[in-house]
Amino acid sequence: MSLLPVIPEISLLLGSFTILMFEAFFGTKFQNSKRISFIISIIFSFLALIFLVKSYSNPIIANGGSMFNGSFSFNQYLFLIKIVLYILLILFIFSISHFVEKVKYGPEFLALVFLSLVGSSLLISSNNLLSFYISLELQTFPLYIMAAFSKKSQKSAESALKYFILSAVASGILLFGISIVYGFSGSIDFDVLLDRTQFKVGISKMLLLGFVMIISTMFFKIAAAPFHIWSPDVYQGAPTPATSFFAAISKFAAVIAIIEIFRFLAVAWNNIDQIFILTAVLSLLVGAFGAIRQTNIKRLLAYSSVGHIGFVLSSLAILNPIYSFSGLTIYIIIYSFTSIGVFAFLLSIYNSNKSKNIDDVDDQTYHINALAGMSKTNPILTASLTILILSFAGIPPMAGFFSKFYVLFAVVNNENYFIALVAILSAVVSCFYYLRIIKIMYFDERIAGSKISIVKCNANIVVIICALLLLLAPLYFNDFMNLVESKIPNILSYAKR
Amino acid sequence: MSQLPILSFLIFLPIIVAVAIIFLPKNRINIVGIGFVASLVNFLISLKLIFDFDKNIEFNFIEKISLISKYDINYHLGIDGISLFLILLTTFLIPICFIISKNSIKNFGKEYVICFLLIESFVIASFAALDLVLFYIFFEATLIPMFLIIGIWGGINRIYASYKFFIYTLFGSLFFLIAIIYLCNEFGTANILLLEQKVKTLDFEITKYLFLAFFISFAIKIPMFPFHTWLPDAHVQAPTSGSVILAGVLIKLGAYGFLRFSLPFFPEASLHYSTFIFTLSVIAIIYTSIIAIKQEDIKKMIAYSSVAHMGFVTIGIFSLNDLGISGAIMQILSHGLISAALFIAIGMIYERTKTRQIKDYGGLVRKMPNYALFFMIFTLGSVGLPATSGFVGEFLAIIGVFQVSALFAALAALAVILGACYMLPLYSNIFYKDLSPKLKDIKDVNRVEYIVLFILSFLIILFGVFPNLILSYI
Repeated sequence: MSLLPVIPEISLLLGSFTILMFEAFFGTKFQNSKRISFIISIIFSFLALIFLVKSYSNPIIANGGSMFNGSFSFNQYLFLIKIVLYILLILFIFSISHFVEKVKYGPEFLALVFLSLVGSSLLISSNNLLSFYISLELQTFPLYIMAAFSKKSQKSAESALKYFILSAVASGILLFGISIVYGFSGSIDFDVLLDRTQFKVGISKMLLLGFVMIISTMFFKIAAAPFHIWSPDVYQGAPTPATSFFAAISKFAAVIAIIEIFRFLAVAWNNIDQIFILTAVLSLLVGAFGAIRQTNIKRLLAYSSVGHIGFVLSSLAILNPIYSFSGLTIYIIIYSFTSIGVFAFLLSIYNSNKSKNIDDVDDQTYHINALAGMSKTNPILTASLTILILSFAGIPPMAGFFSKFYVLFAVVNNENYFIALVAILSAVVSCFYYLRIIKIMYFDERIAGSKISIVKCNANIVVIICALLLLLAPLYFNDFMNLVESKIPNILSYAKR
Repeated sequence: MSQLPILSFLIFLPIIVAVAIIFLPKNRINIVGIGFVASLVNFLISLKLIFDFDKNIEFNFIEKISLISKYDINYHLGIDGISLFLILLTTFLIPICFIISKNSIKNFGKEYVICFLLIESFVIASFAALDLVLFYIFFEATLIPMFLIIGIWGGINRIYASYKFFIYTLFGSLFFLIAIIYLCNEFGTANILLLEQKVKTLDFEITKYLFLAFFISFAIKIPMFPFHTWLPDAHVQAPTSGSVILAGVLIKLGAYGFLRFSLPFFPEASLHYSTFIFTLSVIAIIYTSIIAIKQEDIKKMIAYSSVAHMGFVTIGIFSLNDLGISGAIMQILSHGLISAALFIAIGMIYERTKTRQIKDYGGLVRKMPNYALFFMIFTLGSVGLPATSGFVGEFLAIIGVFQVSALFAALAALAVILGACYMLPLYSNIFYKDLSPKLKDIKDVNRVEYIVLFILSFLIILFGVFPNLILSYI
C-alpha cells in the first residue's frame, strides 16, 4: 500500500509537531523564534500543497480508491478540494502572521491551526462513519482552544465555553445517530451503506432517524439556520484569527463533508429534500434579516455566513447528482476566498487604545462605525474590501455573482421556483447591510479622535490578492466550472464500485 | 469579419484608464483632465461607428468570444441603429460631465474619475451586448459606481437617496435574472438573436410571467409610475454630473431593455399588457406633470418632468407600430439631450448661488443674457415645441398611440400642455420678474460653459429640424 494519498496530511502533522517542539526547546533561545515558527509553518504548508499538486495527476489518485480498511478515500475531486483548502490555509497563515508575532503563545496557535487542518483534511476524505466522527472531532477540538485564546477577555472564554458545550452535545447526537445507523444497517462504511440504500434494503424508520441525527449535527457545524444560534456569539467573542479560521476554513471542510453523507442519504430517502429546503429557506431568511441590526462586524459576518450556507443548502435541496454537488463546491470555494479576504482586512485593523478591558477594546475595534472614513486613509485596501463585500452581495461582475448564478441556475433547472424566489429576495435584503459597510467606509467622515488605524502587514496583501482573485475569476469561470463538473462523477462513480 | 474590435475598444479603454488612475500619485496631476481626455478619445472613436455603420445589415461590428460554453453564454457584441445612437449619447455626455465638474469636485478626485469611466464602459457594454447574461452583468454593474457617485458627492440627504436607488433597481433586476435563467435553461442559450426566434415557441401563459419579470426590472429603471419614487430623490441628491448621467443614459437602459428584449421576445404578451402599460404611462405623464407644477426645487421639477417624458417613451413602445416605436426612440435620445442639458444648466447657476429653490431666483436675464437664451432653448425643447427634438419624439409617439387608441392619445397629448404649465412658469420665475438682491454679483457663463451649452442646443435644434439623421438608421 502506497502512502502517497496521505502525504499532505502527514506533512501537516509533522509541521504541527515541529512548531511545538521548536517552541518548547528553542523558544527562549532565539530572539525571533516566533518568526522562525511562522516560516516553518509556511514551509510545511507549501510542502503539503506541492505534494498535492504533484500527485494530482498520478494514476493512483486518478483511479481513486480507499485505504486503511476503507476508512480513507481519495480521488481527483477530493484532491482538488484539498488543493483549495491548502491554498486557503496559506492565505490564512499569511493573514495572521503579525498576530502570531505579537501574541504570547503565537506559535502554539499555529500548531493548533495545523492540527485542526489535519482534521479537516481527513474529514473530507473520510469514508466511514467512525473516521468521519474522529476527524470531525480532531477538526473541532483545536477550535475550542483557539476560541479561548485571548486569555484576558471574558467574551473569548464565554464563546469558547458556549461553543464547546453545544458542540459536545452535537457530537453526542452524531454518535447516537451513528450507533443507530450501525444497529439498523449493520455497517458504518459509506460504500456499503450506499449499496444497501440503493437497493432499498433494510431502510427502516429508525435508520432514517439515525441519518437525521447525523445531518443535524452537520447543520450545527456549518451553522445552518435552526442550528445557527451559537455562531454570532462565537464569531464575536473569539479572537479574530480564530473567527477567520471558523468562517473560512473549517466551514469549508464541513460543507464539503456533507457531500459524503448526502450521497447515501439522498438515495435512501426521497423526501430528504424537504429537510434541505426548510433549512435552506430558513438560513437564507436568517442571513438576510438577522444581520440588518448588527453593529459588530464579526457578528454581522456570522449572520451573513448563515445566509451563504442557505445558498449552499439550496443547491443540495434540488437532489441533482451533478448540479447539487458542483453548485455546492463552486459556491463554497468562492465564499471561502471572500471570507479569508474580509477577515484579513479585519485582522489588519489596529486599535491604539490600551485600555485594560480587552472586551471593550475589541468592541470598539470591530464596531462597524470604526471603518468610517477609511477610504481616505487607505484607498486601495478599502477598494479591495468593497470588491469583496460586493462579491458577498452577489453583484456582477464579481465572482460572487457567478456562484449565485450557478446555484440559481441549478435551482430553476429543477423547477424549484420557491427557493429561487426566497434566494432572490434575501439577496436584495442582504444588499442593504453589505452596502452599509461600503457606505460607512466611503460616505462617512472619520470620527474625530478615532484610535482605529490599519497596520501594514502581510494581511494587507492577502486582502488585495483575494480581491483580485474575485475580480478576475469570472474570466476563468468557464474552466473552473468545467473542472469541478468533470470531477463530480468521480465521487459518484467511485461510490458505486 | 476582419474588422478592428472597435466596440471592445470603446468598452475597455475607460476601464484601462480607470485602473491606471489608481496608481497615479495623488495631488500632483489634474486627474479630471486625464478622465476628460480619455473620454474624449472614446467619443472620437465612437464617431467612427457612424461612418462604418452599414444600414443594410441588422447588426454591425459583431464580436464573439465564448465565456461559458456549457450554457452558450458569450461575450457577444454588436449594434444596430438604436444602440448606435445610445452609445454615441453616452460617449458624448461623459466628457461633458468631466468639463462641468472640473471645479466642483473637491475631494476624492481619483474615485470620481474612476466611477465615471466605469459607468461609461458598463453602459456601452450593455447597449452593445447581444447576450442576455452579458447584458445583465453590465446592467447591474452600473449600480455600483452610481451608488458611489450619489453617496459620496451628493447633497445633504445623499445616503438615503443612494440606498433607495440601489435597492429599488436591484429588486427589479433580480426578477429579470430569474427570467433570464429560466430562458437560458429552457433553450440552452443566452444569445439574444437565437432566443428571439425560440421564445415564440413558449406557452402564452409562461411568456406572460416572463414578460412581467422583464417588465418590473425595466419599469423600475425607466422609471414608470408607481415605481418612480426613487428618481426624484436620486436626482435631487446627486451631483450635477451624476444627474446628467442618470437622466441622460442610465434610465435609458430600461427603455432599451423594452425595445431589445420585451418586444421581440414576447410580442403576444406585450400586446396583452399594452393597455395596462398605456394606463400606467398616462397616469405617469399626467400625475408627475401635476406634481412637477408644485415643486419648489428646480432639480426636483426636472426630475418629475423626466418621469413624464419617459411616459411618452413607454406608450410609444407599446403602441407596437413603427411610428410609435420610432417616436419612442427619438424621444429617448432627445430626452437624453434635453434633460442632460437642463441639469447641466441648473448645475451652472447652482455653483454660483448654492441654491436650487425657485423662489431664490428672479430677473436673471439681466445679468446672464447668454445663459437665458440657452435655457430658453432647453425649456422649449422640454415642452416639445416644433423645431426641437422634443417635438419629434412626442409627436410620433402620440400618432403611434392614436392608431391604437384615440383615448390614450388624447390623454397623452393633454400632458404636453401640462408640460408647458410647469416649464414656462419656471422660466419666467427664474429669468424675469425683479432681480433678487442676492444675485447682484452673478456672472454670465464663461467660455467653456458657453461652448457646452451651445453644442447641446445646436444638437437639440439639429435633430428637431432633421430628425431623419436618426430615424433613417432605425
